Amino acid sequence: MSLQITIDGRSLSVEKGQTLLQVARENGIDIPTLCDFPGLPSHGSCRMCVVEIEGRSNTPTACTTLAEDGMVVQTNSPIVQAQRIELLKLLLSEHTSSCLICTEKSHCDECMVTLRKAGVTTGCRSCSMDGACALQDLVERFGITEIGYPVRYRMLPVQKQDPFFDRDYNLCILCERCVRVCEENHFSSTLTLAGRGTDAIVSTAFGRTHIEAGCSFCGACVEVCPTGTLSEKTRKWDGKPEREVSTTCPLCSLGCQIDLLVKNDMVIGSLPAHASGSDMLCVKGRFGITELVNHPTRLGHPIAVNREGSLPVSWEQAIEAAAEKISSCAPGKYGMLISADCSNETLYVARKFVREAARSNHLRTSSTALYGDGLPVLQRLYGLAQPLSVLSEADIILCLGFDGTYAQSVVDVGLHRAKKHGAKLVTLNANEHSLSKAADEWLRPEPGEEADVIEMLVENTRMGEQQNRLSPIASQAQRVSDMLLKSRQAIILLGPAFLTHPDNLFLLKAVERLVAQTAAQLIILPDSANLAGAFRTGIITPATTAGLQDLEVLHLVGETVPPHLPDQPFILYQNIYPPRRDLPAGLILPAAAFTEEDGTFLDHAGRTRSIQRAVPAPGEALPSWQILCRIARKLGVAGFDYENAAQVRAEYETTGFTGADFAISVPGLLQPGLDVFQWVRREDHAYMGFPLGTLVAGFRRLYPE
Amino acid sequence: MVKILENKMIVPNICTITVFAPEIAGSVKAGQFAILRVDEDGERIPLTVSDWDAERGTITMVYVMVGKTTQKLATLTTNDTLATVVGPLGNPMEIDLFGKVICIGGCYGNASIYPIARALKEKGNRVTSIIEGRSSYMLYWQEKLKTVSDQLIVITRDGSQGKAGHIGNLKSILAAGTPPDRVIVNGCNYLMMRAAQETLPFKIKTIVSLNTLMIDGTGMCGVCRVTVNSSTKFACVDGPHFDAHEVDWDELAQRRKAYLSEEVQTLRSSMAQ
Repeated sequence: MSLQITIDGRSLSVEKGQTLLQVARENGIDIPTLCDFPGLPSHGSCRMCVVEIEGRSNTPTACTTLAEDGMVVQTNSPIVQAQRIELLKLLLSEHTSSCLICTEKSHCDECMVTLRKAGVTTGCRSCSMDGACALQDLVERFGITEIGYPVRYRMLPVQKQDPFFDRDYNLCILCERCVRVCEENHFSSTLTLAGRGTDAIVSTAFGRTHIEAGCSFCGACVEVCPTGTLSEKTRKWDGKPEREVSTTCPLCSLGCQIDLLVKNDMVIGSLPAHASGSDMLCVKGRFGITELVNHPTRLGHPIAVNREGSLPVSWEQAIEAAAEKISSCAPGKYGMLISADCSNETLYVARKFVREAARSNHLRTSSTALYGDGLPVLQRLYGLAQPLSVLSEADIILCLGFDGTYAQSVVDVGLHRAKKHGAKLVTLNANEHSLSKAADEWLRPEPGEEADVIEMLVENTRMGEQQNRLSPIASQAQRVSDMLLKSRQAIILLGPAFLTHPDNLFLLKAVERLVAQTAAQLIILPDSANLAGAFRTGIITPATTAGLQDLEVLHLVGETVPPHLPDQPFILYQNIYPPRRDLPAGLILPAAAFTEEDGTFLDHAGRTRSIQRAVPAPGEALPSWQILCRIARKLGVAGFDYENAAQVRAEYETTGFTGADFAISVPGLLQPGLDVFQWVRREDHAYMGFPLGTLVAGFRRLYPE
Repeated sequence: MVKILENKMIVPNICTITVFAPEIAGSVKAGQFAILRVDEDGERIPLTVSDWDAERGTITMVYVMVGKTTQKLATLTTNDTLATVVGPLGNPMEIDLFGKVICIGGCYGNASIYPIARALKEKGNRVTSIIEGRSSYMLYWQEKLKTVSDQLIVITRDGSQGKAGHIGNLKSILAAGTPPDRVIVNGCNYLMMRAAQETLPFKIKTIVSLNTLMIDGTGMCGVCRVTVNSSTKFACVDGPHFDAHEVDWDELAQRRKAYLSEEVQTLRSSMAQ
């Protein structure tokens, strides 16, 4: 039903149920707001949006007042304008506002350079939000030059004891955007309003740290904060970004779309790419990326290593030396290990390089060890993989080995949304995890007995009838089976922990049967960014192990140096960080990070995701596929003349692959005696073979080694 | 190892630290500084000795948290130790019977001007102290300064206490009463430079205490180079007190930024503190 109202003399036709603020915005009428934020429910706490309504003695907030037929509204009358200014001055009197009204503020930008790094914010110039602050905008809009009220600084200690962001509630205006985004959009209740009156403060329950309070560090609260109260530790002193570049987060297989914030050709932050429909990130994509790609150890120049030491060399020298080693290598004595964190372009060129340039069959990835015995089943299951969006169709979701506490927390949010819309949530996990409290049923076997529980579900759903169950978990499994049998659309979500579980062969086989039995849709969520790409290019194949002792050249692309290399082959080490252990002899070839090259990944559902070059690579570092092409050309091999990633991609997309290409004669990097399983296991939550905790300071707390 | 007796934030972002350093406490004079290191491989930072007690063997310094080291320093507490405290360094402030002296302090200078005002007062000068801050809650040591000043004038940016505005107020203060015989300014470069601009038309001798980057503080490294009256001086051994009207302020400001990217680099960490 349509209503007629008048705003600022304009007669407008509006839908019933719309607030005055919504109507005004839709019609280009600008009402100032502070606590309002897109996607959050109306709150009415800041009172900046007060309006005058004919026939009413008070001035209600436009964000909480529904349009009524015949209403006559003034959004900019002297009364509401005066009220807004007084309200804003009251807020300023409890904010570090002196810079806002300082008569010499124009000098500050050039003169107060060092003070910008203040440990505690005492004014705009030392505030992380300088230039992007909602209060600054309003002060300018209203032309405020004095505060007029006694000022107060609460002298609250700045909360710095959590990783990733600081909290300075001396700057807080109590708009509660953070509380609302946490609760309403992220189904988490980390934050709340504590205290009353002048003591009111946003806090965790009992004033605990965010880690103790169960925060997943998704950073949504930091993004919605209109002031500098919540500030990203690594971005406090950078000010506003100059530009944003949309790309894909490469820190797991979800393929979340992110906006890289760039200033002075440096990535200074990352946010969800709202324009691409990505409205949230987990801690990895939100807070992990800047330190990862700007790490002070990043390689910028090629280095030759021999027994005497290491020596910087030019790319020409490095490429020539690499080509010479490969060409003088006996047939079958060259092997490449490549990370499933690499782009499709690099995986494709690597594959071609091994076959055509190095003339070898030895191409492997550490993922082969990570996913171990279960790989053939996982590869079959990948044919069924669905995107996260199917969660909205489910009436029961069975989460197997999923824990979104500090990774893939966006999946947690999807699960909570599905639950809110009526889906039952069942989780299978031997340990406390992010779904422990939210799940309708938590199947909690002893560690190592997870496969048995899935077998029970398979068996129960096959038998389809109630049986007499002795153990609690068996009767619980029966209940879950009944739910599965009655369900319209079941979804099985396979988390990283089960994919890499030591028993994954049995687990995945049982899951395969359960999927068949229940016609469930399947979501697979590996940690490795481009596992699907590695499958497609045939780089991951079920491994048979053979001796490692014969390799003369070991080429590592985005992989770290394995321990205990018996024959000490010549190592071509191609990565973005220096090797963690000394090379006996080899070449260190600096590669570009995902922020420095164009390319694509295949996400967990096999969809193509793009990465974009946002900044130059450090020094002379090159995209990995380009390094391989240069070596191949030096070897005199044709077919490596790509001018850009798009040309590689065009060839990759028209090529069919079979894993069988590499199924023969595998170098035994993965044989049990070499403790390689241990080596790979440590690389959960890793990028290019390096545990995130060794690169990003805040991750040390979340992913202790 | 030097023991910390007290270390606390007194107003937002400004802290006082009192340490047991009897040798320094027994010999330091107004206007001298000490260089401390938080730990063995830490950065060396010069801080003015703002008060001392020769009997108890303690010295007190006031610092602003503006980087890695000062933020680390702020995390220490009573009975923690500093790796080293070296001092007294630099020349004492010239103290004589000048007549009327205006002592101006901003930021950490609210404190570092105190022993200078005290010494001038003891010498028989008429002392007017001016302190400035962004807001009333940024001011400290007012009671102490009152005890050594004939007059205390307060300036706040937001007018929450005393005169509203910035050091531009100095012009009207100078014009109002008998002009002072000397003006001494301690604080950030901006405050000192602007104060010098205000006193220049009145031709009043103005002394500033420069706070350049320093390493050894004994004239060896040259990091603290400043151009004064067209010749190169070392703030540590030739200063830190110079005639404000002879200082090359633009060069000083540029040199202050020399390691800015490195300073920010050390702060660019997501680590919990």
